[in-house]
Amino acid sequence: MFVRLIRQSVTRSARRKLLTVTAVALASSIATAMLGVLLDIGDRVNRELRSFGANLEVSPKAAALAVEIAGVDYRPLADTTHISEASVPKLKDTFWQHNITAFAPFLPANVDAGGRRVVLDGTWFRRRYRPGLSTGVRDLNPTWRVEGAWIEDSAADPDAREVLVGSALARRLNLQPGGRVQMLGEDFQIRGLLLTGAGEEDRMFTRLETVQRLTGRAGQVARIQVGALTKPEDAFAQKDPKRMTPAEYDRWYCTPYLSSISHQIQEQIPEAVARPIRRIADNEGRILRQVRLLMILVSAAAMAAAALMIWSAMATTVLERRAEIALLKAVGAQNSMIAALFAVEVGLQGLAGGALGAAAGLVLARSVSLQVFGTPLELSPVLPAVVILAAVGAALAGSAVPVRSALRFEIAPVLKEES
Amino acid sequence: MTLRLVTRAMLERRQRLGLALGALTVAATLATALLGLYTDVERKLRGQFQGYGPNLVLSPAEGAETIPLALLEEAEKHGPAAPFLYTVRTVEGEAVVAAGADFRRLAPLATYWQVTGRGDPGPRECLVGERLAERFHLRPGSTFDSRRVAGIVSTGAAEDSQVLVPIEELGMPGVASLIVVRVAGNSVEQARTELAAHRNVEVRVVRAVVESEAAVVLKVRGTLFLLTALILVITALSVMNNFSAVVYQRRKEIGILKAMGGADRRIGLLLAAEAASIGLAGSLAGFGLGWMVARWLGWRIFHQPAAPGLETLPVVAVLTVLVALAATALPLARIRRIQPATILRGE
Repeated sequence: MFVRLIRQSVTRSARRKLLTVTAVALASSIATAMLGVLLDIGDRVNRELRSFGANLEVSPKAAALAVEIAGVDYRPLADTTHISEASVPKLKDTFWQHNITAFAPFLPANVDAGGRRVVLDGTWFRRRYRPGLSTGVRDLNPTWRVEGAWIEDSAADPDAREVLVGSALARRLNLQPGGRVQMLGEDFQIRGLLLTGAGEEDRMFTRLETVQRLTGRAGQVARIQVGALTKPEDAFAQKDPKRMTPAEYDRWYCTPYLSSISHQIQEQIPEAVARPIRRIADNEGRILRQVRLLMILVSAAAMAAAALMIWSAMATTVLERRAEIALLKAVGAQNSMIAALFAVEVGLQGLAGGALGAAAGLVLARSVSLQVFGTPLELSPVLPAVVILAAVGAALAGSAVPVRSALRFEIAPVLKEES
Repeated sequence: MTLRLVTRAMLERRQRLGLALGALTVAATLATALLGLYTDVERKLRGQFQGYGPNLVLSPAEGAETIPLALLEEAEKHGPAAPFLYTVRTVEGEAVVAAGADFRRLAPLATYWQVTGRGDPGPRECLVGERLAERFHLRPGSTFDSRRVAGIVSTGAAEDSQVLVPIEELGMPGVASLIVVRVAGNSVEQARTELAAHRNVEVRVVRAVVESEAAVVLKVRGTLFLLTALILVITALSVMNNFSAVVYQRRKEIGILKAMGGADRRIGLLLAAEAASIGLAGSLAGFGLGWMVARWLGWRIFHQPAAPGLETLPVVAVLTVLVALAATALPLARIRRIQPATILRGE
């Protein structure tokens, strides 16, 4: 009997069913699209912000003070403290290796070029440091531009004599890409001019191994710049790790805060100290927090609206069916039976609408992501399931109140009014 | 007569109308809040990027060692600006960079500096970088190079190894090594051209700041735009769906009106007037609610209220009324085709 009633109800009055299923589907598609974009945007913006450059600098513990103004080093003696080059790839052995997106070692040398004292930095441009893995200043600073060509240094070549000249320095020395410049008693070929808008324009850059060989500092680097994807610092991150309980310490260690990443880098390279570059690190956290909050609040507003939509559609159809409820009561149906009947029916509609909406929402979220960020997003399969459950819940909640009030009505007036 | 029919129709069916009105109000609230947030988000987000400090740097051109401090006034027309003057001093046998700075002007450009102690040294005082302080064992209050240390600054950059002193105490009046400027993100190019017109000065655009700012702001705005459009379209569809159901339920009433000799046009007008007034009421209530939601969202996210202006109201009202009218038109067309007798018989 119960099953037949349900089957009848599902197959009959298709228009009404279509209405509620559509409403549920529309609302769940908003929910899915919002959640899909929301879960993804923090990561996207984080990667976007990484183009600011490094947010950590690793330097030897006992490094001397830098005495540098506009690309000229005023120290009488070169600083010889160093990190060994063999330690550089160890950055990728830390717990947060996947969060370390790029890094580059530097070894500066004071040279005379065209009668001026300038700093020549040896570095990795895009070095293959392990099979299949490469990184360097090009990945660390995607906003840097080169007029001419980059130095291709995927493999080490200590005999190469190539240099990139900062554009401000090139103007002063009157150097052009393709030209030559004498430094350290060698003849360097100028590959290109570097445009960054910052201090790098007053310096020169060459392969790390070239500087190591010409200054007799084989296997040494002076500092490493690191770009890491981090979780914005919250109240918990402010705590001193030394005073944490073991459980807190584990949580801190396993969260990609800048402080825990620094800590792990120092574990891997004990002779060095990792410091945050505050201009990048602090602002990054703040902006990330705000973009996340923006999306969370907008989604919450949209989600509340979606729930209300489902609720009102359900309430409307139940109101319409007061006569039916009265009739069921008149022929002797129990209130609990009628309630169960409606619950199953509404639940089925919620399920159908939720499934349709979740599918449509996934497509929408993917196209929003493709439109704005140029890459499709990856979504967890849990998301549609959660949305469908929520849709069923909202549908049940929406029909509960009107069904209850309909059950309380006197039968006769309702039947008279509607017939 | 029409007026009375409309008002009576509304009062008689409070529950159903309440639902329709509720749905329209939700839609209008969402529209107001999202439009308000969207129109404001670019300005707010760009404001957040000010924390990254200067995005233009003026430095001496070829052949010059310094630039005239008079340029500071020009630079300040485009945004907060601060001069720096660098010299090398020998303290306790070690070379140290002394940077002359105008701490009052620097403050808005250096919000990310972490200072222990005071960040605004007075005459005969200085700020020392974290690494310098470590090296010379300095604390706020100790003496360095015959100056009192007001505070210790940590930035993770060059300042960590420098001593910062009031620029006028370096004994080189009227010049600077460089002037840093923070220009509003969308007028960088214009400021660059204007400042580059001065002689003996080179203007650099800090590419990382300018480009990342543009990328993030545009992408967040783009996401918000598409989501806003999506939500509004889906909400409108859903409201229409709901509203047409309410109208369709009244087919019996419409049948009676027709049987009494009501012209189709007249009945249509009646329903349209009803829909328009519900739409209007919904949009007014929605605007009020949405205004509050947008204000709260803005305050929550950016710590300053973002209130949609009154110019959003007509947009929201027109959209809501149109949705209500469109929702009425659909079932009406279907009802029109049916004979009153059929409807009244209850089929």
